[in-house]
Amino acid sequence: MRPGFYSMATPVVVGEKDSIPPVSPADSVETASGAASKDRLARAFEQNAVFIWRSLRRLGVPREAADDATQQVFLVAARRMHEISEGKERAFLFQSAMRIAMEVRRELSVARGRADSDEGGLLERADPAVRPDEAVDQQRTLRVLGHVLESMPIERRAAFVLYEIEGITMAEIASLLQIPMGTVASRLRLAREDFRAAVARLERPLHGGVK
Amino acid sequence: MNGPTRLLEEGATETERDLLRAGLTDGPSASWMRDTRAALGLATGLAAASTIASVAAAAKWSAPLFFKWLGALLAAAVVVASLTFVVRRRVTAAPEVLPVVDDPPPATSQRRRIAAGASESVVDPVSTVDESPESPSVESTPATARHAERPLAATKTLSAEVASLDNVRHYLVADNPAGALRALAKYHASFPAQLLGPEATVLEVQALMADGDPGHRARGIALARRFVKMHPTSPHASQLEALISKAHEP
Repeated sequence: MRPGFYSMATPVVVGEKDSIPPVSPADSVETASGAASKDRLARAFEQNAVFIWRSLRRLGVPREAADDATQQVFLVAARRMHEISEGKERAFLFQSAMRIAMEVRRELSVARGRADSDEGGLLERADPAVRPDEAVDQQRTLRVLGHVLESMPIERRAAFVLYEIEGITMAEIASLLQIPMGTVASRLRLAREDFRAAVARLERPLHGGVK
Repeated sequence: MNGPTRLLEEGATETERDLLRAGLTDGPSASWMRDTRAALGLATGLAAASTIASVAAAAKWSAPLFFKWLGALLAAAVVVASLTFVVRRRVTAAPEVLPVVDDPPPATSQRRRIAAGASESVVDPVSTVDESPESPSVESTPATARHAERPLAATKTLSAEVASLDNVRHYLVADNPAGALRALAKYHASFPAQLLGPEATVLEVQALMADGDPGHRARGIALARRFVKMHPTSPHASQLEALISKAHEP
């Protein structure tokens, strides 16, 4: 075995190296106890699990991979909770989610060609309170939303999803993405243009295609 | 900086509004939330936190309510204690200290589950263990097979699994693939329903390929290929593919 091939500093777990956002020294809290970390993880999970799952979906992770990807995000957080300072959990989780989403998308682009199994997953997970015809509509709309969001680079997409869908303020988006407010505004503006152009392309055949 | 008016509030077409609204309509299933909570070892903590919060709220608003909650808590504690007693009795019915034998069990692989796909693995890690003097025993017997099949995993926390795999990594770092395989065998015996099955598979492939034995290398490649075939979108697939490529390098 080559020396240093299995380095503890370089996790051998696949994808984890890319999945872990860097923790700045200012964010580091080395003294946190295990029990306190667990409590924080519990709180972070309850407050963010649905948000992270949905964010992964909106960032292009297929439904069938969203559960595993979300779990991966929290596994990373569980292992590094002691390094994350109080109040930064959501930002850490979202950045992990972005990196994992990029990995999944990269792998999907490699494995492209397989049939999209999104519909089956959606049917399986359809909200029982929703009527079947409504569920089908919802699935279609979500699929269309996925296609529309695909037209955006992931950085713009993240800003757009957080602002326009999740309703998060620009200040918090800047904190989540660790970018200046001006950059958030710029990405959001460009993402809106992408969004509108993609929707317009979708609507064109509907409204102007039949003679 | 408040930001521009959101599209949903102003300026969006009907289609755009429908799409944006749809973005909030899906989410993880309740069963996934429950399972993941348990897998992260959070279920008990949350229950306790919830109880504490309830008691605190009761105390804040009225003493009678506080005692009502306290009574409920005590009743719940009695029920939990009873259940724990029953479970412990069942668990201790089997021998905890098991005889050490040299022959590995024949069907360990059937117990292995890859968490991502709950699919069976083709490689029996125990059968790949090097019977060198530094590894005098394999802690797995038919008795351990039964032992492992008990629902111990339900009570194990994620941290225990992580610690177990960290142990495997220590062996790999120390350039001791045989030790890593032994540690993996222990991991599989301790955690029949693995949350970190894919990570364990990666480590197993690494250990098999690092071993130097052509047979082990072939098994590692086969295991990696099987995993990639079954879970092509797994975050682990790319690393396994890289390991396969590396194994073919001269």
